[in-house]
Amino acid sequence: MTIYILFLLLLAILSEFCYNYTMSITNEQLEHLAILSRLELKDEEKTQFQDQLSDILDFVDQLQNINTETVEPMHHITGLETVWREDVVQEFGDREELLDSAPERQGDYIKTKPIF
Amino acid sequence: MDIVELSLKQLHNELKAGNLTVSDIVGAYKNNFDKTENKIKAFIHTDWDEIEKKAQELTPDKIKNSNSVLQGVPVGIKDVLMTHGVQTTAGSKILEGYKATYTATAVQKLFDAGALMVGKNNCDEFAMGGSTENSGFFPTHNPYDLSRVPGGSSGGSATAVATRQVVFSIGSDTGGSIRQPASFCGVVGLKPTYGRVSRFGLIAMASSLDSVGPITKSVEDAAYVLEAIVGHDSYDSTTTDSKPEKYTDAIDRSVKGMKIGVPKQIDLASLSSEVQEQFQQSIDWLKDSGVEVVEIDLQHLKDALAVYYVIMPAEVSSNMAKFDGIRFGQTADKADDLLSFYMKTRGEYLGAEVKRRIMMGTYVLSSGYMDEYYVKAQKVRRIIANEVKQAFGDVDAFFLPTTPTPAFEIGEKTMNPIDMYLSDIYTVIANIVGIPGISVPSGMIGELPFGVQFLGKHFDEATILALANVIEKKRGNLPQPKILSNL
Repeated sequence: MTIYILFLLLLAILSEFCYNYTMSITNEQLEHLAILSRLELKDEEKTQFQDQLSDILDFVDQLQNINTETVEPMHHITGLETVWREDVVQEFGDREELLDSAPERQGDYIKTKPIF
Repeated sequence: MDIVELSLKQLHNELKAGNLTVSDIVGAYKNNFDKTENKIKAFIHTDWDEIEKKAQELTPDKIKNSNSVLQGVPVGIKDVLMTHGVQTTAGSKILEGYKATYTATAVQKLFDAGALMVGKNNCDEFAMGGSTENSGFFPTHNPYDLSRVPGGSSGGSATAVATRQVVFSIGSDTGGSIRQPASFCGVVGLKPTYGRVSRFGLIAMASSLDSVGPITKSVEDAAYVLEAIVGHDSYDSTTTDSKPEKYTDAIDRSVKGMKIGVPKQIDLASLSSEVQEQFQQSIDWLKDSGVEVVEIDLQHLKDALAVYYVIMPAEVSSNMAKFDGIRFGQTADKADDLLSFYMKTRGEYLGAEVKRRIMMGTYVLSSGYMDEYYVKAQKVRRIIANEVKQAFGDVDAFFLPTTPTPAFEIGEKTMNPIDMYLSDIYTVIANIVGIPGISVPSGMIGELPFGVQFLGKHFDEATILALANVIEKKRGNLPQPKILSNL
């Protein structure tokens, strides 16, 4: 009897594990992602993106089947290493023009919303 | 003589001989533009008044002494490239009305060589898409069939060239965005090696994958434009010191004895019989020219797409952080504090695909998931790079279709993002490992053009140009886009 119960427990734990592995992105995860991404989403967008992002994640999950145990991540593709230059100031662009691109400008300052 | 069918070299010769003026050339292209643009919408912004003024200033006297093949030539520039004083939107509403504060290096080189800008070509928003349907403004229509997409993200560029609104255009390619629309529109699209052409002034999508390159009506024209835009740039530290070649000489190089590899993994048999037939015909043309065609094994070719859809969104999420409504661009109306200002501005003005990719990138880089997704993808990237390097030990170039099918219908692939992503299956590998690629039209499938693709070794644009030239010569003329023949 105890073995039977233990067996059921084991199945329950396993199915919980498997369910988590194939679960789509949860509502909370999507909300969290939207905030991290600094994107305010409408309700329809939230539902749509939840489905679509889950599909995309399922698609890229195929990478998990590839053995990369002895492989180093590749960061640069043409073998270039750190490129150095002299630490000398160079003039660039029209300062006024650059400042003028800002939606809200005050003299030489660019205005933003309060942070606190 | 049909002015709009002349090559860059022919235009230059006619100008120097005094048979044509720059105004004649601009006029001929404007004629096509006026008759077609309302139906195909290849441009977000044009300024024909400005270009006509410049054309008048380029008198025969000035042209007589010019040695630049690009002098006086009307061109399009994809709207992801900065053009000083001219609206640059990257196809996005968030930059509507934004005037660029400097010019991209590659574009400046064209201007220095005398090219005249017609305007900014339409594209998928921030170059994210494979059909130009993601443009924040309007879709562009395929000139061979208006109900179909021109491809993307450089759809406006490819369309403008195919419709003879411009002599050539400059686009960008992060996962196939120059080559795929070139295939769909019956024109040549060249993605140079990463580092060949400066990315300074290219509004960045994915910084380890982006590439700037020409879309032209012939391989020879692509060679001329490539010559003009290559070079080390101190403003882009990922540009190479590797010396460029004289590409316009290289295209006539004999291909006899060259060996090309068709990857087993492209699974030709799964493609339509018309595509298979066309691809086989191209192989026959190459063999007739003395090229040896073998099968190669790129075991992880198909995984390149999954690698791309992890690494690219990760880099996108980082690059898109600059659009915060503070220093440039549109802003949200009501927001009390900085965080809600960011969220409302980006939420309101960025399109769906851009948002999806930003969130995907944020996810794969987030704590707890970074190893599983981002680092994993970077490891598979190395595996693919090693496989490619090994294959190039045996062959001079890879040969495969550019796309699995010709142009699909507008709206056909917008329901499921993955359907759209799959159209990049043959192109992304070039961006993942940084090698050059060219799409050249091989013929028609029904009434739609179709392109085949050569991928070359790093910095070996010369070989793929020579091979593409063979296909073009054997193919002969393509039929005109319906929109032109119906005029």
